Amino acid sequence: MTEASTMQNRVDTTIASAGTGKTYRLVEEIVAEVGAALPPHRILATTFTKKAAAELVGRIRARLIEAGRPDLSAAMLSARIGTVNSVCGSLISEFAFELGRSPVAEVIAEDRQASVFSRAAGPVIEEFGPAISEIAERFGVQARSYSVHGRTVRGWQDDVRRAVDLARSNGIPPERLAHCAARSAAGLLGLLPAATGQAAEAFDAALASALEACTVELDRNKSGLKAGTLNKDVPTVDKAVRTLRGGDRISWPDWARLAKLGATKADEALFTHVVAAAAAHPRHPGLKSDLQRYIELIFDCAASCMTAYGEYKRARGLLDFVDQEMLALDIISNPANTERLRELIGAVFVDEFQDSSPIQIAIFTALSRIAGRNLWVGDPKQSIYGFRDADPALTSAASAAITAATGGTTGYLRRSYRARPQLAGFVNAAIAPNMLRVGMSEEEIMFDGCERTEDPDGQPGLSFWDMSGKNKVARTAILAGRIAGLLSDPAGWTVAMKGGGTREARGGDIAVLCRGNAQVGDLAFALSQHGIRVAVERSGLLFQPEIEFALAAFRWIADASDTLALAELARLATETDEWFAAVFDEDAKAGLIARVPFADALAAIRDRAHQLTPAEILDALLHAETVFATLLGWGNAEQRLQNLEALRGMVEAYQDEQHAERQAATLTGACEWVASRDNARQPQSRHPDAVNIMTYHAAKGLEWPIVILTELDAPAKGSPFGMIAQDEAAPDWSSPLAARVLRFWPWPYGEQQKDVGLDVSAPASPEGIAALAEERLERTRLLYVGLTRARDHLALANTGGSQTWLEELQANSGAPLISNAGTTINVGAEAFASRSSPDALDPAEATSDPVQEYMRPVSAPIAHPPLRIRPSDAILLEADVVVAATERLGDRIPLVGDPDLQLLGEAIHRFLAADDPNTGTTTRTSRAAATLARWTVPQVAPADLVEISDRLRSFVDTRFDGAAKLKEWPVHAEDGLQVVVSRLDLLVDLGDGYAIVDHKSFPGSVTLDQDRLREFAGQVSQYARAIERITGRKRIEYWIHQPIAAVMTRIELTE
Amino acid sequence: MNIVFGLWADGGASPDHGGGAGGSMGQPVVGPAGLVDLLEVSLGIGGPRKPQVVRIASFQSTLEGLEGEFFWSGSLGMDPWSTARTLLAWRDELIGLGWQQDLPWHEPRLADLAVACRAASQLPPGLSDRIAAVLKEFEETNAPPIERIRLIDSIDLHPSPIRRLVVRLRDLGSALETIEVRPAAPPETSLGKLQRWMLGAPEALEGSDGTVTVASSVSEPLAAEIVGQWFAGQTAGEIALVAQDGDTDLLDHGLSGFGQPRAGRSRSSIHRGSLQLLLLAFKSAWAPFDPHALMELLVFPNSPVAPRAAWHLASALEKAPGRGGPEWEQAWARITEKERERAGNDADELAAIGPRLARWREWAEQETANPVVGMPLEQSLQICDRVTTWAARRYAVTSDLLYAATSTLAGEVRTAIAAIGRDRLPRLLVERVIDQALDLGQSNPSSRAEAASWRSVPHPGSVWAPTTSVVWWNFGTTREGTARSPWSDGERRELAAADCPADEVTVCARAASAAWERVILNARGKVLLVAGGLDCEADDSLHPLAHRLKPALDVVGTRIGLEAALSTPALTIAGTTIERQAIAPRSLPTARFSWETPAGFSPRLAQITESATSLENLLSCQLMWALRHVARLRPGRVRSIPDANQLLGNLAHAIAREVFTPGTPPEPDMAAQSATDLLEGRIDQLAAPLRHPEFAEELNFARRRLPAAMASLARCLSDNQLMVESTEQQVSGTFEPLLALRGAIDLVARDRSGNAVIIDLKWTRSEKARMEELSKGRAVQLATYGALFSGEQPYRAGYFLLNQRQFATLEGSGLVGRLIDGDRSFPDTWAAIVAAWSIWRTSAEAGQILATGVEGVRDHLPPELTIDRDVHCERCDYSTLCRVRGLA
Repeated sequence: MTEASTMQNRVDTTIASAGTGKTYRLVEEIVAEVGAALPPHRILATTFTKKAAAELVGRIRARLIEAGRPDLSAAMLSARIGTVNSVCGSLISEFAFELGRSPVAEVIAEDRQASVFSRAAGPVIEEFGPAISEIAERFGVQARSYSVHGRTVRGWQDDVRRAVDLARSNGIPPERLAHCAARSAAGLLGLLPAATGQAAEAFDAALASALEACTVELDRNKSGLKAGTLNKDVPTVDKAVRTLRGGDRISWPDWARLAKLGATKADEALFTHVVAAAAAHPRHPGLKSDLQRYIELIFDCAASCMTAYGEYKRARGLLDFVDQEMLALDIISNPANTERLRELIGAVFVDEFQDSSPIQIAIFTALSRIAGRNLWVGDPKQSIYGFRDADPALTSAASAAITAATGGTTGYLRRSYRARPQLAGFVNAAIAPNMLRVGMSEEEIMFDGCERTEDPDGQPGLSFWDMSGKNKVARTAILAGRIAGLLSDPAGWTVAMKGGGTREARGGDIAVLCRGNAQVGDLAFALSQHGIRVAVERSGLLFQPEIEFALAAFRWIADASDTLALAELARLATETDEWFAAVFDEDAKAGLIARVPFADALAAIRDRAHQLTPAEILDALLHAETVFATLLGWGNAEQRLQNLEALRGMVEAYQDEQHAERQAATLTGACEWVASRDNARQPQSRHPDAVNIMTYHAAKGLEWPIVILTELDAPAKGSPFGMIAQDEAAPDWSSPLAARVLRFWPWPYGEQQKDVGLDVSAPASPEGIAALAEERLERTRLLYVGLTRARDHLALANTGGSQTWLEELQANSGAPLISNAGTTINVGAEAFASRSSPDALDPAEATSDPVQEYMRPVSAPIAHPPLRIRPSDAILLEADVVVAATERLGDRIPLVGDPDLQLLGEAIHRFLAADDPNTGTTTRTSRAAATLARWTVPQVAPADLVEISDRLRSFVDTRFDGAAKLKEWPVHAEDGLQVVVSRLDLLVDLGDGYAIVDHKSFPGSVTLDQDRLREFAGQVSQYARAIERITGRKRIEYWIHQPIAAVMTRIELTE
Repeated sequence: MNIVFGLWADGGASPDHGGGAGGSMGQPVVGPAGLVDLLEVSLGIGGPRKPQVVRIASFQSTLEGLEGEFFWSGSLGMDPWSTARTLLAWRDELIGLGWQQDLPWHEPRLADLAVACRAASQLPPGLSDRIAAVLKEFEETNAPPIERIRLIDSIDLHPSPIRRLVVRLRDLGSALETIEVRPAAPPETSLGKLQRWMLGAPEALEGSDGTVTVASSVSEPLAAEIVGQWFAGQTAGEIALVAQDGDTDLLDHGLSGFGQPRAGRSRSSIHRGSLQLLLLAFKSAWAPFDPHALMELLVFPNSPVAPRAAWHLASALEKAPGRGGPEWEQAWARITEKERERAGNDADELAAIGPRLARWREWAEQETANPVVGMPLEQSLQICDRVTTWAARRYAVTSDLLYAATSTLAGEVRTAIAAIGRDRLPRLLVERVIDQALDLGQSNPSSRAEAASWRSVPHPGSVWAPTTSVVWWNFGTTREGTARSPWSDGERRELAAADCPADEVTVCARAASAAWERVILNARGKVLLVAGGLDCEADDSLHPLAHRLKPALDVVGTRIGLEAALSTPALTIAGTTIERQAIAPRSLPTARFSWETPAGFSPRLAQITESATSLENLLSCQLMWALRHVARLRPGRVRSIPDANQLLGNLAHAIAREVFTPGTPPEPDMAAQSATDLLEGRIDQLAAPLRHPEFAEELNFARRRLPAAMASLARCLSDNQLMVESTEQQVSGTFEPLLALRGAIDLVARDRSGNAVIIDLKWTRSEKARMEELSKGRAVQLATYGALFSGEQPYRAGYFLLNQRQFATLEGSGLVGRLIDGDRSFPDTWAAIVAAWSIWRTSAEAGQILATGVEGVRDHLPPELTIDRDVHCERCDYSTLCRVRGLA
């Protein structure tokens, strides 16, 4: 046995089906561990999201309070509980010196990673770009991704980036990518027909000659060609001929297109030779060599990018999430750190282990060699992040293997605290066969009971909702109509209350789950037609009028030459067309300004913009008078305010990004940054009546009384093309990254997807079959997640045709399990009572009365004086000031050189405050010397400082007959709503009053001009009033002590 | 003296002094910094304070001067500043524990730190050094300088140095007492019940009477507005406003908006306006040149380049984002000319022009330095000096402390980079130095608390006595209390053995928890906890105290979503009813296609000269044309810098102008070679953004495609046996009354017979749109240039599509290229254009301007319109005005 394995601690696993109290169990386990004397700071727990972590900590703390342990509850703040990345981040920070890294690791925010990468990889892209682009253009692949008809088409730079990301997140070093390339190419090229021995030039020549001949024929028959031929085939031939004549090679998508010419029967014969020559493209040696070279180049480029990206980050002290995980793995795996790690980590709890990435599994495995207690909790049935590169097969295998190998126990949470029994039974019946077939056990799959009971007289919880229609819009409209129907009959759809009993359903009880954001948006729109609120993030934040309005103001503050912004402001702020007239005025700018009611306020903000942050400027403009009244007057105030909040968040995000980049955050920069984020989304409504619409993935971990599952007709797409990570050999739980490898199969035919050969051979290959099987399994899990969100009612929306996705839940015979039998929904042989769906209402039936909304009443601005009165700022004007007495204290103190008077003053103040005449002269002089040295004023002799103190003491003792002296005495007095806060240099208690002595250490004598006197008098007056208010004593003497000039001057006010 | 001491009392406390009503003398409330200062003064010790950045720099220098291998060596090499900062914090903590650096330490890290500490003899003192100095003085002292100390936080929650100081004061004779925290609210209230529950009393929790209110709002401005209103409703009793994170900028808008005094707390930020100038000045001095950075500098508030000059330079950058090109030089020429005009005959003014221009050029035309090799030291010092001068001048004029801070910042950076001792400074190093000097930034010097009957504190821990009401603003998540101790068990054992034990790991968390709870316990009447923001109710946004109190708050707390205030005329929050005013509904500006022609339109129109582009726009959307070309509404400067695709087009045109000189066209190979030779220089002059690594592939694309495009154009000219007559041929003319036109034809060629061929160069991703123009007789540019150039004479014309390397023209032209069967000849197209122009003008004069992208316009278009073009509202800057955009 290796040393590592001898140190292996036990790992326990808990498989928790949906809604079976997983978090509760984790809380109990952690509380028990802490209760059993494990200090809270030695707890390490990882969760999938920050929210989950906060919820976990909160519940643990509350539980400890309940258990009468507030001390432990407070101490839990120092426990290491968070997402895997935050936990890794804290370990990296604590082991920075061991790693030889910066102790302050700056983590690149997720939305910044792409731009950091593109900057780091720029030189590599510049180097590889020409060679890759040459082939990519033949594959119909652009350099960057672009959107067409709502679909994103990937560019080759995306493939490079994905290779880098996948390699890093699977622990594959750059030097291994050449192996990945060779392996990928071998697999893909094996799908193409064997070489015929014919040279590439021969294929090209045959096609060229056929094309030339075809052109001649087309010209000859031009007048008689059918429309289809003219519109589709002729341009294709023309383009190919132009390409060849320009000396270029025909792209592979064009080869494929040429092979499909002649779709119009009447003209088919004209293209026979071209089709015959082009159809040879799968055998073309150029295709193979292009694929081989392209794969090599992409991996080569990716390897160089990995290195460049790493160096870029290293130089800047940056880390991304993968770096955090890899570094944490290094720390945990390094035997030199073991002892310290064991001090820091006593117990490890992993939540949602099924969603872990391969590196994360490696981290948890390594942690199990550190911590004495390890518990991994999760549900393999809910592993739905394959698209984010989680590997469910690896994760499940690893957790089962480590539990078995370490003698751990596997526990099961099977009792549902969420679903009513009927729904739990339905899920068991529907899901079990698929899961059992892939080797899972009943314990892992099925609920064994429910906390809730069925009301025998209650409504059935299952229903099929018909939403068949001729197109997507119609189908969505029907679904929205049915939801409107449900809400119009709330008594017919009651939901259980937490404490028992039932109540009528409302919008917020309903969740509709969709496959993608497009349908979420469509349904949100359809529901809004019924006047139903929706809780969904909607696109188009920047296009909302309140945002346009705020941004226009922001832009105009940033750049007064932005007349478009000014016109937008005038347009949105006013209800007349005056703005339009103004833009054509001789002085359009002045005309527009005159029509913006708050233009002066915005201009005033511009004037102080240099004092503010961009975020503060945004807040300031929002609060300019009438701005909110304008925005909110448009109705739907809550949503508009939420949108503005999102905008505020964007400006903050801009500032954060600039800070992270160590760049200037400017107003104009903020405007540009915000404007470039045109995909920003509107936040979702929090209103309790808002119907929740989201994707299946986003629904994970949540629950609602009523859940409607849609898009059950979505087909599986599983394709072996693209870039994936996989295991080259069977995974080893003790070293989960060892066998990881990437496979990249590029698609060489661009938009040509069918009848090209590879579309048939690839799916039939082992890789193709595996890809489809994996996707199907993931789809089953996703469906499980959807089915288990419901507490009371589960509706399956049926689009009429084949429900491909739902039908993938199959009996062992391969037959679909679920069928709608009218009053029941049958799952195999088992029948579950079902109810009818709500009637679909027409949007026209929606009534929407105008809603009166409210805002803050208009209030006149009030000027308030400052809270703090600084006596030194006070100048007395209303009384006469006289010098009542002047007394010399002795000879002037000589200054050698030119001391800093402020420092000198501080030194004198400090010495006078602390000097104790009862200590000996030597001590005092040496203290004086030390004081002068510290304040860097050697221009005064220490003995002189002692002399100053003695003179002052002598004066005070003589003048005030030994009255108590209070040095550096704090005064805090209220004056109406204002306060005077100060520290008096010397306060002499006169019994019925005080003498205030103020040290003024400037070297000359007081120039007793009226201005200066009034300044002193201002102070006197403030202090006198303050002291009177505090003590009731009215007698105040005010003395100016000039230690250097050796003069005491008494100031007096006369009425 | 009789003090009140609390761990969080340095930034303000409630009550703000330790006496009774009206005020006090000798009874301050102090935090650690205040206490140490007070003791130093009384003991006659202490000296001028050095900023923490100076201490870090000093410690860094010490660490770098040590010889040997230490546990930090690797980190110090990688990030000296952060390493020094972290180790200094550790060292300060050790000093605070009372450790002796001269003792023999066995734990390796402690031994290494002892070496560093011994070497750091010149390190300016930090708080723990000052505490150590005070404690040392106390060794010789018999009488306490403070008579009585009332502790806000229990002594067992103090960190070691503070605890030892307080204990020593007690030993010297200071009366020490901990302020007892009792439930301040009556037991029958929800607040009273909550307080007793917090202290472990078994009373049943039931009922919520509004004395504990948890208010949340997705909109923070709404929360601020309502809290402002709520304050206005408080007429009796004291209020402690806890401004978590010490910032009330937003809340102050809410308060002042309802006539209430501002709390005036402003957080330090590095993002304040004038602080940015140093970063911007450096940013525009690195290669590759960044036009956006220069543009930001030119439009910066109080930019060092006067707006009258900056305007011309910004304009040039918009057209050709680069420097040294014709646009840039023309801008300078115009600036010079304007300055001369401005000076008139004033000799002094005239003499000042030269230096002024030189100063502006220093800002706008800095040499760019290689970011890796580094900027010459002299240049970086000059940048700092320029910023210092600018900020100092502004400070002199405005007395604005932020300018003073900017000046100090530039001075500190100058000192730091001079001290590094390198001839060249890489970009990363300079940016790190600036980042360090910026530190936490500055607060807004204009923020100040206004006179009020209530007090704000930056931390709940500084509310130390019962108060009528507590308002906790920004009651959201915090990292406070989560700090972890760096010491291993072995180190702890050794420190304990040396009589300087480290603090318990959890002391920080417990102290914070106690402080949070204390503020709730001190409320007599009501507590209002206010959280705002999109995720304010999410678990990870909640303050840990919310988690702590949740079981009780669920029962006795009143939870209010402040959005309710939007739908009700009155809302009661924590016992105060807030009246709201009905919002007068306004109609949302909706999309409109018909606009009444304003009086100013015709006079303006009479002054404009159209171009082929403006005619294209007119035929696309009349309103867009009117706003853009007649009214000349324009977006801001920064937004106007072209994107990468436009830059490629501009480059292509500029290069074509130079490659194709009048006469016989060059051989294709020569054309390609010339393009290659010209390319790099023109990129710097006209398309500098392409040099940035994010556009690496666009740069590749330019290098690959532009020479090939020029070769192809040369081949096309040769295939058609054309001679180049001119490029960028300026043409103008007047047609119809009032249709004045001006333009520049990309390339005019002549065939052997002397017939003109007009070639318009196009750089587009797809040829589709241009092909459609030809086939549908809508090639406005070609027809316009043809009419301007040839008048009534025959001519031929076509687009040369540079990216696709195709010449596209009309069938029947007799030219070699891609021949398109067009619906109209170019002269016919021109006739249609003129007719359409006339129709649109007539229709405008008749009182209506149409937005042709707005739904419903079709039936209102002039029926006789002979030509139109597609409308692309998605790309139109003016769609915010016709409201085709933003219909929600």
